[in-house]
Amino acid sequence: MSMDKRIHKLKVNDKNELNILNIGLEIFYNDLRKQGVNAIHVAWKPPVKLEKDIEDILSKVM
Amino acid sequence: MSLAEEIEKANETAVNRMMEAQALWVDIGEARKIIPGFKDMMLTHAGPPITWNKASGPLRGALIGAAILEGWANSPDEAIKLLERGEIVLKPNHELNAVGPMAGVISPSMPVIVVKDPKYGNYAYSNLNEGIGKVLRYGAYDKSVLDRLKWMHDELYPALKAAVDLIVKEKGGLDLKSIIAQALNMGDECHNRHMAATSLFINEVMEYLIKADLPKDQLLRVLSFMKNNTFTFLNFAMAAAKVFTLAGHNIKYSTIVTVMSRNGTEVGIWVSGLGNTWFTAPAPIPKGVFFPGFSQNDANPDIGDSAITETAGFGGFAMAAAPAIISWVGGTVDYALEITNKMYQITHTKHRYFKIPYLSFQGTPVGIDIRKVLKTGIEPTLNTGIAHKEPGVGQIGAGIVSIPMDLFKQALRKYAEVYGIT
Amino acid sequence: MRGEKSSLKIRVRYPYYTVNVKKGYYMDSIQLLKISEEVKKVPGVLEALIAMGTDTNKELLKMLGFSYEDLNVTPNDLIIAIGAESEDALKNAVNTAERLLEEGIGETREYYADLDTALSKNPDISIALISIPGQYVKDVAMKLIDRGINLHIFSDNVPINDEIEIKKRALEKNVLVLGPGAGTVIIKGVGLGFADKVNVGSVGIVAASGTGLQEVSSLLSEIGIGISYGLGVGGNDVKNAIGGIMTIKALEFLQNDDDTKVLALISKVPDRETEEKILNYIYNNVSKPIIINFLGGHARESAKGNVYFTYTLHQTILKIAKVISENKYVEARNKYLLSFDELIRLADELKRELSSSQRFVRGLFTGGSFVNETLVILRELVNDLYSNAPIEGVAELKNPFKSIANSIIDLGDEVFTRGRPHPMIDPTIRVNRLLEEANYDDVAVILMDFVLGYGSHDDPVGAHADAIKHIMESSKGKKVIIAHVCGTSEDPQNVVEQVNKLRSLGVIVMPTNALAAFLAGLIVTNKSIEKLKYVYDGLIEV
Repeated sequence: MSMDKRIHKLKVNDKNELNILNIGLEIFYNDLRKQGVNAIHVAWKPPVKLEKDIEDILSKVM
Repeated sequence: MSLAEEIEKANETAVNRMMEAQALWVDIGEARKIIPGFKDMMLTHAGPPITWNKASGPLRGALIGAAILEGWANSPDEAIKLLERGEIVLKPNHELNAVGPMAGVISPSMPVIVVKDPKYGNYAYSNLNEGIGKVLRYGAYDKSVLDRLKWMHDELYPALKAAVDLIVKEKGGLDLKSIIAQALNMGDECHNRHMAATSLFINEVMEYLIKADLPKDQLLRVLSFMKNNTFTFLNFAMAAAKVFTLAGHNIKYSTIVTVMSRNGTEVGIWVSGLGNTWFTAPAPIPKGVFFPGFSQNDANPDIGDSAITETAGFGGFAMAAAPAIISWVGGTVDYALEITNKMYQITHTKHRYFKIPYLSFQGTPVGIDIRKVLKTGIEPTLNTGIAHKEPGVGQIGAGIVSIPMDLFKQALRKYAEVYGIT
Repeated sequence: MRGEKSSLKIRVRYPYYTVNVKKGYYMDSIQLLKISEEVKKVPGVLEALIAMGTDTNKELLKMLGFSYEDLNVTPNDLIIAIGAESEDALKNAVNTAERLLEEGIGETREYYADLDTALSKNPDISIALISIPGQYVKDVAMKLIDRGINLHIFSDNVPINDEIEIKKRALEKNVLVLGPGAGTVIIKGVGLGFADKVNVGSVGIVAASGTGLQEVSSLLSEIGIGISYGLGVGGNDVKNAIGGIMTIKALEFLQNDDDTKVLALISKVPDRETEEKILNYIYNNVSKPIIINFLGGHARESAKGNVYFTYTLHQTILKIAKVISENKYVEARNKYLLSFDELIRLADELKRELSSSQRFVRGLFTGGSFVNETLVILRELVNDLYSNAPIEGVAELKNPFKSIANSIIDLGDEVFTRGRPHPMIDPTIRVNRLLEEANYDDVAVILMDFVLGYGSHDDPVGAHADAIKHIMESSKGKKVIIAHVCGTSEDPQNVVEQVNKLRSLGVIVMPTNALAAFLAGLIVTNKSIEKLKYVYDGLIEV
């Protein structure tokens, strides 16, 4: 039952809208908007590269 | 409790105290008399500890001007000799619970305001704002600068003293926190824009200045001076920020930043759980817009204690509250929003009392957590005035600057050492 | 600047130049491409390359005449290289570049700087389209799966262990993960990633192959057979390491979907164990008609009446039409099939214009499935067949930048796309390679695909027009260029116009990729006519 409900979110018809989150290439977001779809864009940037000792300490304090 | 839980608890305590702390202006007096630990032949300054030979142009200019003002030297050359020989002790403002904008130099006879937090018992101090243009805090020290400082000592200070004494008698002190909270709803961020805050301040103080029965021409000069200097409230805001952050300082285990400050050569931070330990790095040069005739090449590295406002959760962190500042610092309104949004990711919580109307009255980002800074890679961002790197020239622009990541790495390593994390 | 002392020891061919490196400055390659294009428009600018410092881009830097030594640049650093006619032009160009890098290009709309803010402001997301570099996908994917959001992972180069973890978590949370490496997803007429504008209908497709999905959905749509869902599951799902988890999940979804009446599964050949799992699932759970296309697979006998096997995308289209209705089948045959005799005749005609030394085919493809399908067909028709994406019976092309004998190149492969936009978006690499291939005296035929739709370049044929013209007008001797265009008449680029443009350039346009490959093979083959008919019957006819 819950499986259907979850994947059910893929269904789109007049009432049931599709809400899309785009993360990464902006052109995909633009194309979705061109198709008139509800979409938002997340401008992703790579996470910081930290030195090993900092990573280690962080893993213990967070 | 696990270490992470201890830290969360400590941070919650520290930031709660920062938000609940009060700030009342209660007195004004000469630095030597008012600030515990202030000695003769001593000059305090903004930022982490520094020596004369490492000091940048604006700080040098301010130190020279202060030495002459105090009568220790009769000329810039004499002043320089004193400073070179180390005959004047230089001490960071923060180490005496004081703060000063830009060079932030405070000398023994300078009038300093006293701000008290009755809730947690802390006191903080700041000097009086000279205005814009050719001023000591930007490293200018010619006759006009020194004359103005003398006037501030001889006329402005007594006027304010008379007023504050009356205020204290009537209601215990002037509530600065409430002025800041209101100003944030009126388009100020209370670091580089104080138009509303200064107006509110003058509103409050006016009645008492009149009651003080000052000679009319002195009263008019005092009012005119404060009115024409939109930065009048800056030093009050900074002292308030200092008592807020003092309330959150020295909380065991806390990873919250309680001081961010620059001296024109280096930038330094303190972390609540690590006491008065300075972590320092070279100060970056702010990027922004410049007055005609000046460019990035003329700019001095970042300078000033005013980053205490961001540390306390307003100033540049509330940039979204002051879209007007954006043209001044060369960005766009969206950029201001983006910065504020980014600051949410590195802070502990949203301020209970300082709200941003544009963001549906969300609280400002408060309590920079060194762990979050490192994890997200987002450096705290502030706006600031930009000084010319040569002493004596003054302000040449305004812009945005970040506090370097390296400081937070140093702090985390020290934290691991102190708290025994292997 | 002219005469400026540069620590980079640059020798360039522009009178005024600058090469700057911004360390640790990241921007996605499409934005950078747009910015480069804008900077090139500044009057007096001769060349501009603003791109991340990947090996491919450093090569490009050399190619464009910014030669250097000791350029200390990593793929996380941004290169800004500009060549101009005058100092003023250079200054303007640099200012333009800085401004665009600062402000970004394009309007800011519903746009978030970080994922957490986006999620907290938008609680009801149905599906997330992820196209960030592969090594960072896992963290983002897990966060989304935990919130019950279905995923379309366009990114490739996601480490296989990450993919396993992601799909395991998705199964626990009952969430569909399409990809990694899924170029295309179609949901009731909405295209995510590279997708064509197709009609909505009753055919549901599960595809471990983006361009395969595009080809089948486009060609069906053009004869009025619509698509309910096109679910790309990415290239790794059918490997034993993953075990077909999402392929099966997607089939399950379509079997349970009331709007889907006919299913199709398009994939390269799965690993043996996984193939068994998938077929078992299908035989036991799928009751609707299902056409299974394992590209390049051996002949299979169906064990149930509703299950059909095909071996090329081309056959898949014809078979689906047949299952839908006799009318549609006739329409499909008319539009998409050429008879064996017609093809032999055409090949003979084209062969006549070539010299005897011309005996090789070079294929330059942007779509991985087209490479696959082309190899499936060509390995029956020619010897000495190479590819940088080989299948059984095809040799590996050791250096993808240098073709040998018969070579079919997948230009979408990682070696070409690191730090650069995909060739469906940016034709630069293929245009240059096309000119290179045309220079060889022993090359007879050049094969290409032109993929239209959302995400693709806004005029793929136009972008190649100059190069094609140059080749056709060359005194060096004739080359036969054969192409097929994958797209619909609703696509922004309009398939009919693109086809016409190609024909006017003298390119032979075939209705499907398989026919293009078969025709190319016929031109250079030395197999007997019986063998050729056998191949036609096995891979083209249904």
